[in-house]
Amino acid sequence: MSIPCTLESFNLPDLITLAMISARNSGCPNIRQVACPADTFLTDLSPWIPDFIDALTRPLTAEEAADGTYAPPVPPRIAMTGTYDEMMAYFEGDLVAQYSGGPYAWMTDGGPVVPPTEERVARMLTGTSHSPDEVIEFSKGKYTATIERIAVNAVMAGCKPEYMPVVLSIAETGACVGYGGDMAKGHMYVVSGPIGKEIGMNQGFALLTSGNPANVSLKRVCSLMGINLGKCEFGINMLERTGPHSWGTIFAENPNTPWDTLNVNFGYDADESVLVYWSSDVLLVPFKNIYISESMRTLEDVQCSSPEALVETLKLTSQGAIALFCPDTAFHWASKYDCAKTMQTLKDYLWDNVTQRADDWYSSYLMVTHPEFMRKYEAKERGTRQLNPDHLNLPDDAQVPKLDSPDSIVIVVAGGTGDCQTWGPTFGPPNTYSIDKWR
Amino acid sequence: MKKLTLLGFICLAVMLAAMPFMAACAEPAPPAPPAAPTVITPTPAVVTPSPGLPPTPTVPVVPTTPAGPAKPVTPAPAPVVIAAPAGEPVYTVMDPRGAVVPIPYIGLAPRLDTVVGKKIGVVNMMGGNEAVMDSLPADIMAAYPGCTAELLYMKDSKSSEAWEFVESCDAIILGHNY
Repeated sequence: MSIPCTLESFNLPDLITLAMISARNSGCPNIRQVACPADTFLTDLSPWIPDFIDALTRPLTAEEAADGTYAPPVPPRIAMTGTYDEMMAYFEGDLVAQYSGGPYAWMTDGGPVVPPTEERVARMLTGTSHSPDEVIEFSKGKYTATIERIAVNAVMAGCKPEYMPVVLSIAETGACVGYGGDMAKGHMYVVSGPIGKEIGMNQGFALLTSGNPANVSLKRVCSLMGINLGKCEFGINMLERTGPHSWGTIFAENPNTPWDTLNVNFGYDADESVLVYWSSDVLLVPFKNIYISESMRTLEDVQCSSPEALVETLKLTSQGAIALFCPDTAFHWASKYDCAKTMQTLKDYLWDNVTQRADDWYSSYLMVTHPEFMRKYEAKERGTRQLNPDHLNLPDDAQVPKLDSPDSIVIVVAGGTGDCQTWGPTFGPPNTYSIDKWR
Repeated sequence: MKKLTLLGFICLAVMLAAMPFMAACAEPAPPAPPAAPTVITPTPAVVTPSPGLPPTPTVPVVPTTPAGPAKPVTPAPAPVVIAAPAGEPVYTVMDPRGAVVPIPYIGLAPRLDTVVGKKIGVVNMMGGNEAVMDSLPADIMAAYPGCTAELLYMKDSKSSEAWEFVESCDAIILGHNY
């Protein structure tokens, strides 16, 4: 069965191209688009009705009617030969401005890159036992890259060969590809296990900022792989209204913790290195102890926070959260609060207490506009420690957990000596990837 | 797609020429491999790119009447023309891009010869822009007497009810609106 169809689009080159790419990925790249004014608050489309009718009735061209396959050639192995400046000019390409942003570089993140010569790429490949010809998928299988191409990006980012297992696990996640809509989708990666120390990642003071070659170059390769291998095109399919402060935050967990390390918490062995990955909507709020709430009375309250204060903070999120503790603060909590004796008791406490009124939940945007959320909860087993049918149809003033389950909250210990407890909202729980399998 | 131009290259070459990072990254020029593209001498600055991806196919866009507000694309910054210094190392570098998995596509469905006596479905795919989408069916029927038009909020594309609606129509207008 086939039905003639047309698409209402905004009259903006980047959005029209984005719609074409989406249609192409769905197997219908030639869909006719009617370009209407780019006005989110437009109230009348009647002047464009003749265009809609024309798109549904004008006979097709031979090109529009033809079946086919979109199959651009694989880019060549060797890109070019030239001086450093010439190479940079080639990788940046024409700096192209899109309607709503730019100009953007072509094959870089906008900064200078290390020349990916064959010699450097060969050295990078010594960091893994995997074949250079092995293929990894990106963007849910729409794109592929060999491990050699991944190594090219690692060289450009300034990585060292010993970082390759982490680089490849980042590649396995799909790297940073941004988001075509209205989120600030800052991907976040936490390295858990011995490789963090082995390759010299920063797990202490100022781990979120500059200064550490491993953290900085791994952060860059997240972006470069997203651009070159995940085909993220700024202004086309990366249309975050503002974008996040950081697009690929990565740091190492501090193993000096009273609780389980993340690898153990997610079911791996303590000596196995693991990448914990959040794909969307992550922004770790930098710790600033000048933000003193009315409930805080002492310096300890300010710097270490408290379970009650953390509960109030996490009520700001709706899908998941990271709660980050500096080691000293983690030990302080573990010794002072019964609810923080173990990672699991702390997660359980937070899930039990980060609640909202039932009527607020039922009338929330996701529950009203996305019936699949309601069906997901309806399908869960009753009596479990996750949102389930027990939580539906409660009185309006009943308190309902705000997060899916205790696993929606991830406890991370990282940072320098001294006290600090901070947090970040996430869009659900993370995924985990073995780093060791890429050694 | 974005292609290299000589002017753009020269502009960036000048911007980057003074960067100490360059010196840190420089390594002795490797011997030119037999299969490598032509090695370029530093002055004058010329680049030999390997073939890149073909341009993205042009999207058939129905012209608007009247046109929406004109919002021109921001022009690229004006290039500065200065030649790269001579005597720099030369690199043969590898391409960082991956491959596109081929995507089969189908041709468009044959168009209607007329909308008279036909049912047009207006589908609001994502929610939002309700004012526009809600009024569109009535406006279509007013402008084209003899056809019917109905609205569907397709909040869940897997809903059998939604697909039954689509299959009952002779043509569909998808509301992009997000």
